Amino acid sequence: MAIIALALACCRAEPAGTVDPRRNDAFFLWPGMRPPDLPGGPKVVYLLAGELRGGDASRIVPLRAVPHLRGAEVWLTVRCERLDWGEGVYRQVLNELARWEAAGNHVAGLQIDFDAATRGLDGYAAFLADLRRRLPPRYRLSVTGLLDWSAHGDAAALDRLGGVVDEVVIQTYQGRSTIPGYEDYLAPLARLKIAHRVALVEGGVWKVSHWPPQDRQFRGYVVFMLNRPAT
Amino acid sequence: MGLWALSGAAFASGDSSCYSSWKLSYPTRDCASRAIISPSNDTRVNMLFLMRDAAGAGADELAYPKDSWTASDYGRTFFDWSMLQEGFYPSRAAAEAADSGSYVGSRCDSLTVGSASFAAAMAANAGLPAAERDKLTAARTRLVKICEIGAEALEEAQRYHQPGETAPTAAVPLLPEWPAGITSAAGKAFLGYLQASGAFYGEQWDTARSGFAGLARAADPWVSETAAYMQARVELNAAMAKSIDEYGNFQGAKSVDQAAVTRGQAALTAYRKAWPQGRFAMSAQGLRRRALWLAGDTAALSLEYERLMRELGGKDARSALLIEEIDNKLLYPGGEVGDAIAAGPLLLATQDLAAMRYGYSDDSQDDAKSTPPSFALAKLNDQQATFAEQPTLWSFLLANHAFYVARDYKRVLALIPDETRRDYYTPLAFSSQMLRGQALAQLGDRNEAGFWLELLGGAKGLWQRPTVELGLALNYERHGKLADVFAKGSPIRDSQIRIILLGNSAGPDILRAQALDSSRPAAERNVALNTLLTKQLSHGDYAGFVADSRLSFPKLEDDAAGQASNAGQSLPSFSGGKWSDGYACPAIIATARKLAANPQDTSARLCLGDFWRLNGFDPYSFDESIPKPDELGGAAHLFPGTATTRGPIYAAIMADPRAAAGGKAYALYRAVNCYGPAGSNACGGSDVPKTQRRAWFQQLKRDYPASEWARKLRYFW
Repeated sequence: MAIIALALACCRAEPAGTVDPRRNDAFFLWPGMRPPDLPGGPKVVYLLAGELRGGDASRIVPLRAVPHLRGAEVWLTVRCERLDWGEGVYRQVLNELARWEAAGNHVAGLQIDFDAATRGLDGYAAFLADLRRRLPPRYRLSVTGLLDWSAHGDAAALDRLGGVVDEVVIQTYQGRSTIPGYEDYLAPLARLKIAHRVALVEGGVWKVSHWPPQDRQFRGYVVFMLNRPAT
Repeated sequence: MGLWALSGAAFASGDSSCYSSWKLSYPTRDCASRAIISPSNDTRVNMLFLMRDAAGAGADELAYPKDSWTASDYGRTFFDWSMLQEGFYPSRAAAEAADSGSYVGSRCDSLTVGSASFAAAMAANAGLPAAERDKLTAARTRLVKICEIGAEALEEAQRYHQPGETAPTAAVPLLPEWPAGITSAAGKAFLGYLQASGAFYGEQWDTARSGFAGLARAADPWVSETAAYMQARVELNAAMAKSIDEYGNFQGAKSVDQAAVTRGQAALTAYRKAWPQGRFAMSAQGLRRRALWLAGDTAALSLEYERLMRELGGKDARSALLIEEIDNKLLYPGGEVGDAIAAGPLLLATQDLAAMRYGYSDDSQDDAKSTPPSFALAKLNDQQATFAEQPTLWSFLLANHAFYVARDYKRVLALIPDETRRDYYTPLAFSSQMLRGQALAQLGDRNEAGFWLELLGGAKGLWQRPTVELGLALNYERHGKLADVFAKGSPIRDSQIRIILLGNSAGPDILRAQALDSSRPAAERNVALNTLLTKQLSHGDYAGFVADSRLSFPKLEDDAAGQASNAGQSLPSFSGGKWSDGYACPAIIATARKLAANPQDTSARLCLGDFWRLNGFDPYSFDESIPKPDELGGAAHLFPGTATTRGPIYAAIMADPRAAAGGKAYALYRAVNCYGPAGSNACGGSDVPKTQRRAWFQQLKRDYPASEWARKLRYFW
């Protein structure tokens, strides 16, 4: 058990109990949401920039104006309900990345938040490989993942994404609550070979005091902000 | 019909993954919607059904959307907002792809579209010399640059290109100059338009404002009309200039410059007065709604939405865009329930239904902790006048209140007469009859099944028939008539419904018969055989497993229904799985033979455990997907015996004094590993405390120090 001691020096652990955004430095922000006021400001923000909706594969519906952030690493997140993107959508995404960068943001890269069913992971991989080819190399590529992707024998498919994406952010919530029974998925999650963050929902349940030290690919937590009134 | 750039987050839309509740009613907002207009549906779904109903939608010849693998758990009973649109407007994506530029939704969206219009206007003006026209056409690319780079980048670029400063790392190209030598009056007007537009796209509101104002009396009709319209756009954009925070968030109506909104509204009125049939009439209508929204005038906005709902009637994809706008701007501004109370019946009904949802008192999503809606009948009755001309809708709302809030099911029957045996049902007629059937089910009415059977005949709309089948299947399952679901000629045809019952409720006889029934889709037959073999192993019918292993899995094709594609995915490897990764085990069939001869055989039980572990049976397949008692597949359990998992196997062997040393050591090793590496039990059975795991660890090291399992185990968790 001695290996626990030093391994997590890099990442803050979320203390057991309720997810308190003020103890974190990385945030996932839907439109209208803000991170907590932290002394140094947030370190990493994932900003939902727009959605490609199921009924329309030809455009992204923009959800926010260009941010002007200094100091934080910014990910441009696109939520999409389908993968058969029209050419214009790729243009739109690349333009938007360029606009954010030109506005002085430190753009880390592009994050795809896809409503993928577990069994579709292999089809998703092909889409992502193509997207990676289109993306200028200076941008990293991140994807969100569902908690159950790390189980159900799909961990292998998830690991195969490792050649294509730079990280997976595993969401442990559904809607505005932590998924009941999330504990059961932690073991397979900790075995993932791909770099991953674990996304928690503000105010959600999280009773994991130490992340498994064997998990060398763990990059920390991200808090999905709801801007709940303090309780 | 423009969705403006900063529409609110779609909290109303689906979450990241959705496991629909296989029952007809759900007390709160469900993650998937049904063909029944109801509190649990996405408000956008209810709005579209209500719009189509008001326009008299009936038995349209519509096809189900192409099954996407994102939603195959839905069968044809559940759908989400995007699937609904695909069903009603199959050509929408194709049509929109044709005319879509890459700036949709931003200020730049008029740019691509305006190109042809600008060229035509110049061509139509005889006073414009050809040379000037060419220069102006070239100059228009400057606008495109402004949009591509963005106003911020423009500033950056200009700053960095001051003498003595270094260029930024990502070099931003400098803009071309405006052309010189434009001398004709017409040419000056077009150039003035381009310059004002450049200021607009570059967010220089004052310059844009004066530029367009100066063109109001231009002799060219296109320039004067466009400039008049653009004045409104300038004001409404300028109104939001200070409402964007550093994250790019809109900060709400309070941050809006209301003086600019008022000027924008005046400009719109002036435009509509001067050009009632103008080329921007439609866009002006959208701008007017935007102005109402910016002004916070939700009363006027809701009246306009109600009018448009009736005008569009759900006939084409514009209706869907309108509904999204209504959801984002009126019902759930900023993702929260809005304060505005709708004035018209369609919107008010939408709000009323959402107000009948149960809420959760805490974060647990536990149905037992839900709080009933605080929606008094008196409050609903106060609205009666609004529905004076919609008696059916009014009865339907009262009946929903009786069902979901008062739980007075007899009242539902009194409010909704039996109108089965129709040729087809409009969305509202269908929803009303479904609610009547649901009330019959709640009351345990003897004729419930008969009611569903009669309703089936006219359930021709998209998603209607499987919804009725679900009602019938729930009834059959709860009344000991599961065999009727699978009888020849059964009215329950929906694959997903049958698969759920096969996977959860059916006993060996039905499973075996369905596995062999070549008239059914391969996916169903695979589930039947898969379930049969899995349950024979988990429920201890090893002889049955040995016998039925001879049955073969039908080849899974892309069957026409396309449903239930998940069913075949997890085919366990009964014939070609992984049997061993250290502890020596034969193929599962040999293990099952040994267990059939002696169910207590230590090594065979450990091998059964390894089969489960190595082939993806832990532990979710045993406990997590079990439907709740009130859901389809949750009432009948016809497979004899009870399921066991790895945990109990290891516990039994550890406790068995006759078990051989090698088997005992392996059972201890596996039992400790059940909790690695995060301390949660992956093996099923009851959890044990960490002290017990430590004791197992120590026992293995102490009692079997020479075993390879003792040597391999370095930690406990």
